[in-house]
Amino acid sequence: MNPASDLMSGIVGFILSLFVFSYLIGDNPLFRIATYLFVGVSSGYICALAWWQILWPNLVQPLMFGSLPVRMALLPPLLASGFLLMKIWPRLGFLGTPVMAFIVGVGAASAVGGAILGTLGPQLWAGINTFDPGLIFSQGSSWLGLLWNGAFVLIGTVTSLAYFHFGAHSASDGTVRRLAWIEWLAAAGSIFIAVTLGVIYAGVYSAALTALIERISSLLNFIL
Amino acid sequence: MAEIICPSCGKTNNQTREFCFYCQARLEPLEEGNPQSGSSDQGDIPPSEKPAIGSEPLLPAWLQKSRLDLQKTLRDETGIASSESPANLESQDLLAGLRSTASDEDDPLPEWLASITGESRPTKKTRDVFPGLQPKDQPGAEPDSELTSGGIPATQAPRLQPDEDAKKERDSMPAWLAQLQSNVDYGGDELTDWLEKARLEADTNVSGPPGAANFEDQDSTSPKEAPSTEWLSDLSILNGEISSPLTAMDNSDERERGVIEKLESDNEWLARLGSQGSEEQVPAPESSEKLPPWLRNQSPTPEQTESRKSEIPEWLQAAAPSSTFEDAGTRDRSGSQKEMDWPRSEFPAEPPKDELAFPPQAEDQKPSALSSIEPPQPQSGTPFAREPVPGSTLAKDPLSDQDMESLFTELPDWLSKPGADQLDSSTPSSPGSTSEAISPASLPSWVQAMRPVESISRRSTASTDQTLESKGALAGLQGVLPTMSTPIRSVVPTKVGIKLSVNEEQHSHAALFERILEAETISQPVKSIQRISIQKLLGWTISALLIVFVTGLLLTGSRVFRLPVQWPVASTSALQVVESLPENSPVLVIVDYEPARSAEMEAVAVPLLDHMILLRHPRLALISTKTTGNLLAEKLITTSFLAGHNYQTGSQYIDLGFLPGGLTGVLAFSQDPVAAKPLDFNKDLAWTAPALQGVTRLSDFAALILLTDDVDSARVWIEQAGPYRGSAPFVLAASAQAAPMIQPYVDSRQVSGLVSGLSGAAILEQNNASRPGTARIWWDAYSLGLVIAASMILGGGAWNLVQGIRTRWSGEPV
Repeated sequence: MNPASDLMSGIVGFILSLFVFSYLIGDNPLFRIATYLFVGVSSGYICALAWWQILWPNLVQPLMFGSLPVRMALLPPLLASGFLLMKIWPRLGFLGTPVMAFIVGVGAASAVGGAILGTLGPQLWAGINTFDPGLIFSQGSSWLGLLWNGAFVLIGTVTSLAYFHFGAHSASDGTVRRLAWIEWLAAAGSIFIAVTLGVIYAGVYSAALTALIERISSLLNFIL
Repeated sequence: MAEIICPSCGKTNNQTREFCFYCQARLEPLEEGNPQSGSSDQGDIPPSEKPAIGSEPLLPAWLQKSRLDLQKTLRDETGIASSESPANLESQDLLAGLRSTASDEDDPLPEWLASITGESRPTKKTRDVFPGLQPKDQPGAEPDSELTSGGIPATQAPRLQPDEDAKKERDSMPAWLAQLQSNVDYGGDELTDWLEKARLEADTNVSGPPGAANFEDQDSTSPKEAPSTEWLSDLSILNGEISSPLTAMDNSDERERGVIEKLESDNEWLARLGSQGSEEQVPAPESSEKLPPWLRNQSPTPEQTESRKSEIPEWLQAAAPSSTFEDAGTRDRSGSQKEMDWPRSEFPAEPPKDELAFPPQAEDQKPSALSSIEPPQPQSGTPFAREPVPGSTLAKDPLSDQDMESLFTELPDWLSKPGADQLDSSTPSSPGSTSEAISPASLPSWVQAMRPVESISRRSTASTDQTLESKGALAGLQGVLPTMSTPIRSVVPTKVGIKLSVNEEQHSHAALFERILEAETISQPVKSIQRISIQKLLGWTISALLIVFVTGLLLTGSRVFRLPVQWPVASTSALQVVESLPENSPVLVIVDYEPARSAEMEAVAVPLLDHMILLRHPRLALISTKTTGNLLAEKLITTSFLAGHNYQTGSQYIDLGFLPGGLTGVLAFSQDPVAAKPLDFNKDLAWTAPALQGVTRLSDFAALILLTDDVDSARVWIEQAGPYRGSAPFVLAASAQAAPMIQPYVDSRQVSGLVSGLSGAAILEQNNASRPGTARIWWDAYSLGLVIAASMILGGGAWNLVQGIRTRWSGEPV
């Protein structure tokens, strides 16, 4: 890499880092300059990327230089793209509605299928396997510890699910409350949920702290 | 097209129409000389004086005044009136309503009517002086007194048309009409003479002071009643017979013909009345010696009377007194009377009694002009059962005041008005002019059209309220709208004191409530402002501490904190996957993180990839579902610590670029990577490059390594690519913020290994001969930052706890 470009990129990075750090004293124009600049650069890059990475190689170039079957195969997506472009004008926006419906429908179907086959089923199976003696003894660890671990996961899962159960009935005194045993489970689930949130917070703080360290280190490396 | 608005209903009609299409009212006022005008009696009345259709039955003020003046004049000149006015006064009731129009200067007699009666139209000058029309050949045409009944000097009597005009018009008539006219003339003259004699007898019998009473007597017993009733006979004839040819004259307009037919039907009662009047004028048998010779010859013999009685059904004989049939038999005693009976035969011989009866007291209390608009009193009973048959009554006492008065006072208003109108015209022509009097024919369609309104007016006049409506659709009507007759009682509201009576307790409650309201209006200082400033100060303090300590540790290059020793199972699994890869095997590296997390992600990914490259020299295929992922991927390979491996694009690694479509794109790429991403970032064929040699499916990759800071991205790749990756291991290098959410997939063995955060990077570096060493450099600052954060969280929590306890003990609000 050219040292001059390294110097320039280092200077720009240093200045913009200071502008972003200025947010510690509050919202200010320096911070806004840095954010606006980032948004503008990102937008331009995304536009160029969409053209060069999507439209040109996947639509325009085959239409211009592709064979007849390729061109005919690209007519439906071209037409759908045209209809979707009609969303710019409110009067003609209804033409893009079917295309939007198609996109949403395909996306929802993919998400539901992936969630059922990739998350719900495997997670339920994993929860059941925590008490499989064959798996427990096959891992070579202490079966008591593995059993305790499995029980802890099972309790945490059940109580956390009970916490999100909001079904209730009217009591004799007129108040509306959940069942007593569900209340106990929900209380236990709240503990697990609090622990989970703490872990997530720790992970977020850890990631942010790492970013802070990297920036300060970068500034120090530029200065020194 | 031009339109004309109907004066009656206000709807628009074609200008060519004469009558309204909706209410059949005449659209334009009749004018003199208008051939379509059935009558011009009202034609030239000034608009201000011309009554509306609805208000025509009501006498205008000037007309009432004129009538009163006329009566006064007649009373004053009793001597003259005794010989002439009785007939006129009787006809005043009949023609009272036509007086206003007859006296109008521009009110000519219709030509069609003049042609029927054999008269010519009078000149305007003549009509100016004397509105009545008087044929020249009538015996009574020459005025024999200086004043007419209407107070018009005799010297201003109308000039009569020459006989030639009448002859011409008679020649133009059909034969049947001419014959009919001659018969009417003949009978009228004879009957007039007879009634004249009867009047003379009545004068000798009736005595009293001159004045109103005498006037009324004369009004009811005048021998000139005969011409008036003869006029009624003519009217019935005209209505019954002559009107039909008239309608045939102008049958081009269907609607006008309908109106005329309606008028004919409306005139039925008038015809009955006319026939009844003729019957009443028939003298009694005991006075048969006074009959004229022609009438005497027609008197039925007793045999004829008996034969006619036999022709009458028994039920009818039983219901009617014998005198009725006897009188009815006398109707045929003259030839002219016979011919005049044929139209009468179409109508009932006698009108209902309720049309004839009228309280004499009420008649005495009001002027004759007003009495003409008095409605008849309802009366029950069948026509045959009523007591005095008019004919028989006249036979007993032909000069009976009550009978004669009731006969004409029961006439409808519209007919009584023309009678008054005819007063001016009939006087100079009496007595011999009655046979050819045009008064019956002067009953035009506009008068007929007002009959329904007349009935309303009759009801309104019967009411006590005589308020004359001056505006709106009821303009001109009198007493139509009911008014409140009972006086309105004004109620004086009782005075209620406004002073409240409250006790001391209520006063105290009100004062308390007032204080509460005052407290609500007082603004309270916002305490949160101080808290925000403290929080900002606390934030600045934390930031300063972190920056100072991190900078200090980085500057000093401290190695105080040890690297983690206990390796997580997931990290160990990741290392095992990397170390177990085949040599120079294709590995798919998915770069799905944002630039903001690039420092952490590079700290995690570099030791993992460096370890893999050092051991297995894999061929790398870089792809990203983030728009900035390609830049970060290039930076990772070319500018980071991995740049030392000097990997060449195309042969050792290939950048597939941006994968659009989100999870759908991931699914498409998992199903068919070649079709979903045929070109690389430089728009070259990717799958023919040496870096991807032998790779056509997702399962052809030796391993999948996902570098992500987003749990959603990790879930998408796990969910969508899991079924298609086959036996290829799936290793995740994630940010610390996403690791807790990815851990379940690790436990479920959907993910082969997981390295997350700077701690995971430190583990990998320890296993990679401390390469690149970034984790070690940052580890003290990272560890101190965690300690500072934990300390501040604990210290802050303890501070809040102490503050809460102090606040609770002190009793201050939180």
